[in-house]
Amino acid sequence: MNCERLSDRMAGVLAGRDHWSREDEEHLVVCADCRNEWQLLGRAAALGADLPGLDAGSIASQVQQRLARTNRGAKNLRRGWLGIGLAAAAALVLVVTRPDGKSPPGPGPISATNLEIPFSELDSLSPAQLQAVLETLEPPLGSSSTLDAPTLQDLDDHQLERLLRSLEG
Amino acid sequence: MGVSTGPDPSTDAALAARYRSGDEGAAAALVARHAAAIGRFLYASGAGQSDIEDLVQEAFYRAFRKLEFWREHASFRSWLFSIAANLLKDEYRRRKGRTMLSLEDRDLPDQSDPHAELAANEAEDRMREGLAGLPRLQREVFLMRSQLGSEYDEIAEALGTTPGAARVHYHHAVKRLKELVV
Repeated sequence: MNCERLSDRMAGVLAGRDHWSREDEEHLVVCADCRNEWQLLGRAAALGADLPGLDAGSIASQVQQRLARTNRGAKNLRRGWLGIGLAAAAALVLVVTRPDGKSPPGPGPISATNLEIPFSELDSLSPAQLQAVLETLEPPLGSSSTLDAPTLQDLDDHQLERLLRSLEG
Repeated sequence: MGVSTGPDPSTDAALAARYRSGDEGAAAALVARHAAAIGRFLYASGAGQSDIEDLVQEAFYRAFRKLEFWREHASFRSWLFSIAANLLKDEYRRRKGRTMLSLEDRDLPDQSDPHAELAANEAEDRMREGLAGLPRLQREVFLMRSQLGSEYDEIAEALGTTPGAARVHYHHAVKRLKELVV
């Protein structure tokens, strides 16, 4: 009789998937090592057998209440982030869009290089040239009504989602 | 006579799938099926009797939140055992290493045979003390073998180790418990 093979089968016998043969039982009588291991497993299996019954219905109900609270909290958190994202998007829209809703004039879209003002070069310009430069500048933001500017409410869900994704990177 | 060919709706996997699709009754069925076993595992691992209901609730709460991580190679109950074991580890840390083992909150011995009951209680206490003194993996493997009847490959899947390592942990646990308990 191989003690290790018997040891491997002990869990299965305890669980009722396997059973001892007559030869196994005889071995358990004469082999103290195997007998002690079998007794240990039996004692551990019986631990807590006489514990008062748990109220599974109450546990399930409390778990479900906690899960519902957690889900609500996660939704609120997502809404909070959505609000922050929308506020950021609104700020972005105001920066890149003229108050009348039209794109800025010029050869193309605004780029970082277009926004750079060469202050040192201005020093060498004559008053007439400076005046010409001033006339090309846009009026300041907020100097006219923004009521006609597109708002986030004008965007559909798909556009909002795309904007949010672009903000989140 | 028609024969149903669909999956058995009463298996843990089927109940878990139903819960994922919004059936709260499936969660209640899983709790009803496994709560007592988890309670006994926690008790055997050293949890105080008065803490067990709260710990079982917390174990199921964690399980349902992470249900998508249950891989069906391990049984749902083995997976729950591993969650309960992690829960006990967290609780042990929270109590800054003070043992959770509580032996004083057991009912008084039955008056019909107080000596026999006392002896049984002492044996049970020795066993729990022995288990509480084992390294965590040794204790978990030993309890999964004894209380679940799990094979080493299933234990390895649930505990994130190898069957060979699980076997070694088991034999270390048996050796240590023989010294302490038998």
